[in-house]
Amino acid sequence: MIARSPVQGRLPVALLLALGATLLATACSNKPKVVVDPEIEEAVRVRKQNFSEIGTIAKNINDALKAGNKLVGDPTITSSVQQLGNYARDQKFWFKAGTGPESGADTDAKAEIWTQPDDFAKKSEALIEASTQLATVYASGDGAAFATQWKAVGKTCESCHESYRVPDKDD
Amino acid sequence: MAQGSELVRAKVWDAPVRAFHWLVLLAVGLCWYTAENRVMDWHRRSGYVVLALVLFRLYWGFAGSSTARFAGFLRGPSAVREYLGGLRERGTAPFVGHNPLGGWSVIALMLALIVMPLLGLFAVDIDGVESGPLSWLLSFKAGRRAAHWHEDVFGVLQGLVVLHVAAILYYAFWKKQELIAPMVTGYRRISRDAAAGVRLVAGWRALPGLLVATVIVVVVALYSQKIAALF
Repeated sequence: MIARSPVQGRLPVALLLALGATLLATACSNKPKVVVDPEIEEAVRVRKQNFSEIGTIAKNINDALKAGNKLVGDPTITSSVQQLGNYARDQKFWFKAGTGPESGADTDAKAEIWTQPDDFAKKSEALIEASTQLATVYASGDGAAFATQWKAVGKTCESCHESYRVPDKDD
Repeated sequence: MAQGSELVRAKVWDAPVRAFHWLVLLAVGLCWYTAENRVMDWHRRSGYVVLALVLFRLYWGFAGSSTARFAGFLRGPSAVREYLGGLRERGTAPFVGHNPLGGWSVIALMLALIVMPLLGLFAVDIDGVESGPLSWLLSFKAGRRAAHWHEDVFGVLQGLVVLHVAAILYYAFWKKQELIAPMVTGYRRISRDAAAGVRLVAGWRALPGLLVATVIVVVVALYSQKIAALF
């Protein structure tokens, strides 16, 4: 008689469990809700909405660039470039003390924003400079320079997100 | 030993199947690396390669050798149950091509491998700066959702790959059947009867499928907005 190892019969079950666990881990990544000061919750909501609008603006510019459209004189691009500058200058007011992750609000802002304010301000300033430069290049009508400067703007978003935003889970 | 059950070295995997297998592994690996390091130009390119490879594999599932065809390896629940019943046995005759459960795992892998790049075509990154070639059809928010699903499907794919590798290790160490070398060389020791059942198709027949898959991906990747502008 052949001796049977106790694990033999369980292997397919283990495989199925592993698959189930993977699927579950992917599906259940939401945190339970906690009670948050409504004022803070509102500030976080507005902040997210503003960033989402910046995303829309960025996407408008990106879509037009990818389509190879003529950018100068396009009303969507003109207003997008202008709005981007406005949002960039406004942005520092969206991170009031108390609106970080410690509030319990559903935010991807890292606590480091408030513990390293000088560096955060520097990154915030970089976006203002880059978007102001973008507006200048746009006004000059130089398409190639616009595309290059647009990349520079993207880098400022990315560099700040890398340090101060929790890697993606929500919008 | 009866003459038909004598083991012979026979070709079971045609070259397009083997090339697909290793190239898709390489391309997905490159996608993973480029996503982690945010080299998005190359992430898009390697994603296009995955999409083209899987589209080709769909074609080859109908036009390829008997071991590559869906009709050849998709089996009903009773075959899967019977296979699971014999999973613990050692010294069973090797399956030619995919086993009844393995066939379904191929379908699951292929589903993940096609849904993932399709979602990637619509994905937009958090800055709205990097995006897939069809993301212009969606809003920023919808594009973000596509990006999240794109990532979720990658999680599922990782799980499936773990299962795939676990099954290969189980076969290697418990059943003493080596499955990696055949996927490289195409050859495996199987019974003479089983070998006689394999119908191989000439490699050049892969060309039309490869060509169509490439054209589809190039058009989607580079010309979608220009084509839409014509209408």
